[in-house]
Amino acid sequence: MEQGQLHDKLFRAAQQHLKDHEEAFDASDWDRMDKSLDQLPRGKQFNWSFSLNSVLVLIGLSGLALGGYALLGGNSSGENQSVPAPAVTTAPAKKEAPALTKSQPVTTQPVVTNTPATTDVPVTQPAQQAQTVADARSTDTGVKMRTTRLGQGNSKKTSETDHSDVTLPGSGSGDFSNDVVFPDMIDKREGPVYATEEDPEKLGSIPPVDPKKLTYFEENGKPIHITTDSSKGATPKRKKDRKNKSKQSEPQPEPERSLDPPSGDNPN
Amino acid sequence: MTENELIAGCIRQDRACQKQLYEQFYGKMLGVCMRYAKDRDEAKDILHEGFIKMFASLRSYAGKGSFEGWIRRIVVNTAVDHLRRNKHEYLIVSTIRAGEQEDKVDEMDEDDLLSRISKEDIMAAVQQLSPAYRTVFNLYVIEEYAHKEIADMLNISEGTSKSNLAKARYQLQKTLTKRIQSSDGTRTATR
Repeated sequence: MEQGQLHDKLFRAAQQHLKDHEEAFDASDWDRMDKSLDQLPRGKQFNWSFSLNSVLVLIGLSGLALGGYALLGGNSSGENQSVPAPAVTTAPAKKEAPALTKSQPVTTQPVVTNTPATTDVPVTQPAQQAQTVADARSTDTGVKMRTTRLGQGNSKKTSETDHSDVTLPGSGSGDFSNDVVFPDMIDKREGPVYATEEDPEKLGSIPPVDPKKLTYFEENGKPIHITTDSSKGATPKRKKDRKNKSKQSEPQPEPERSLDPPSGDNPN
Repeated sequence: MTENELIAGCIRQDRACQKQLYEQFYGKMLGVCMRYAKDRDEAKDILHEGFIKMFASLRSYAGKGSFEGWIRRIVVNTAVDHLRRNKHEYLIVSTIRAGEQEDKVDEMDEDDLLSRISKEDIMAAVQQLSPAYRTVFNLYVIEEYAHKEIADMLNISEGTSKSNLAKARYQLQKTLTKRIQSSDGTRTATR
């Protein structure tokens, strides 16, 4: 707005007369306005109520989502809380045992029962593998396994892999407990090797075993009687066959030459 | 009821509050509209439109400045919009009238003229102005807008605004002189 004074007299007079000019009130004009106000849409209030409703719906949805998340999170956390074991889970350790017996070149001879021999079938490698699987399943029942390293023949280095009998310091107990395996306890070929101690009471309770009466059971439950001690390696018959094969395939070794010159021949 | 309570009631669409506000500002706002319109009916149309706008946009009143000034600005803008809608008409009329008004009027001392004119005379003279002159006269003299602002509002040049104001003044003076002289003649004849 221009703040300057009006220099023109006519303009000044007009401003003085018209600035605050008022007209008389006409009631009929209000009737017209009243009708127009009735037709005026209440858009603002509608928008506000609409936005309020939408906000309430959003709050409800977010509440439901949070509730669902809390329920799911509560269940999962409840499961975690019910396990009194340390943070290390038990599943990987349990899976290691059968993997070791299957993949490692270890001949496993589980001592199951002293039942009379039913069939005289020589034990083959697949049968042994199948047997180790069955043995792995039977570890939960407390059946002891004795593993022997290949290449060590009849060396007496054995390890009992009955985890139920193994007690490590600091390990948990119960169904959800886990045996802690440190890196220095893991053998490259056999996997975890637990330090064990023979229980003299249990040793005394085991009846003497006649190797000829040892019986394996296949997966289908078919008993297999072992006629020879497999801990010594392959059967003599196999050894014989292998020797014959090697003789046929390999060239005849040259006779050893003596580095010492013959006493009679002197080149000089 | 205070002005704030009245405004709050109008926002709530309280009809009693709306009526009270309408009655409170009706006279002043109709006076504003009368200056921009050619007659009372047109002024009432502008006033009606202005009040509808005011009630619809009452939430936007921030409370800064006087409420009367806020309403007045709405009414003035409504009047300008009303004239803008009839722009074709008022521009043509103003052009024709600018060249037509060459009636011979006896010159009169300005001070003498101003001392004898009344509010009704001035209002009648303003209403006789062409819409273009009237609008510029109202915006410049009564509302005290600058020519630049008027030019922006009416979408005309500043020169046009100044020219229209000068012509409006000339027309106003002539109309007032004519009215005074005619009233003098009537008085002389009755004597």
